[in-house]
Amino acid sequence: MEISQQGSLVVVGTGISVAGQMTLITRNHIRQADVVYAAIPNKPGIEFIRSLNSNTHTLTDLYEVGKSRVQTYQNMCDRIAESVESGMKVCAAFYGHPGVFVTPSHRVIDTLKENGFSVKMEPGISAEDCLVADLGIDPAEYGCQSYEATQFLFRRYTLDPYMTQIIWQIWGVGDHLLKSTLKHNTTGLQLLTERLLSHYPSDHQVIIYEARTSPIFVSRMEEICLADLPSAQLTAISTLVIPSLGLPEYNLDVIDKLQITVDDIKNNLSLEKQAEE
Amino acid sequence: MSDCLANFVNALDQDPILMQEYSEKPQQTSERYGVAPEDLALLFANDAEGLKQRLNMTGFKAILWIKHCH
Repeated sequence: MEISQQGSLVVVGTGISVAGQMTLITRNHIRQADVVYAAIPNKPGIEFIRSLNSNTHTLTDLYEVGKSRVQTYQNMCDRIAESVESGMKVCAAFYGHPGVFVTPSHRVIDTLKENGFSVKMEPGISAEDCLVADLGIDPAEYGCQSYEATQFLFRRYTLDPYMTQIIWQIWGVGDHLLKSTLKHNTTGLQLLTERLLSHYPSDHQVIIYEARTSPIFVSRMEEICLADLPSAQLTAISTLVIPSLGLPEYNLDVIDKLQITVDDIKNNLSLEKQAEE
Repeated sequence: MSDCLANFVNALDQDPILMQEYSEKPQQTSERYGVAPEDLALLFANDAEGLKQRLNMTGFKAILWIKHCH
């Protein structure tokens, strides 16, 4: 689509922590914008963005208890788009990564792009990045499947217990209303647990994870038995991490076709063997 | 008016040496950033929930964002 309009939008992520995870390019986009719209869930984060650009406005006033989030997201898009359409260089800042579990960022980019405006997204540090660092889990070791909890519950996903599972937003699992509410959905959590118990033993250790948002706090990394999940104390930022059951069996047909053996593979991974050679 | 506690938290978040200094000399480091006495009390009381309330880091609204994709 040809760029034909004057205004522009760059969407940036500020990271999970208040200020220290912001990339240099993100800082510069914020500084150089005519106006910044920020969806940041804490005072220090907003203050830091304001220190970079005094013309910063929050999007928090668009949230209301009982209001559908679908409506809130549309209101956010409209507010951002209006400034771009008036010819301004706009920066929209979302905490974490702006393209991960964020509806309005993608929506406003798509809309403005269709209308001939220059749009761009810069990556940010996401909660999953913090999880990898805090828990010492390498998503490449066993592979990783990642879901939003309610979507996982509502749809027939195929879960592979040999892969690490990350299930986001378990506090509100089963909430189809998408309304801003303080109510924890216990029925949804019970159903989620029952579904997981069809893949894992009841004593399988799972982790309730909450990334810290500042170095003066600590991340929550609480291990519990899967069977105890329905009674776990959760918050709106709780994530469920289910460690792998281990590596599955080798695919011997494929290995044979490659004219290698399982021992060839294992020996190549062994430091002792490599030292001998 | 700028929030000294919020600014201090931001500074700690960006500087591991400052964080180390804070862990060794919390009072002096905090006071250098103009953190008010009532906020100092919160920092040193080990009251994580109180601090989160003070910095709007708790509750649904403070989380701001239950991100949805379904």
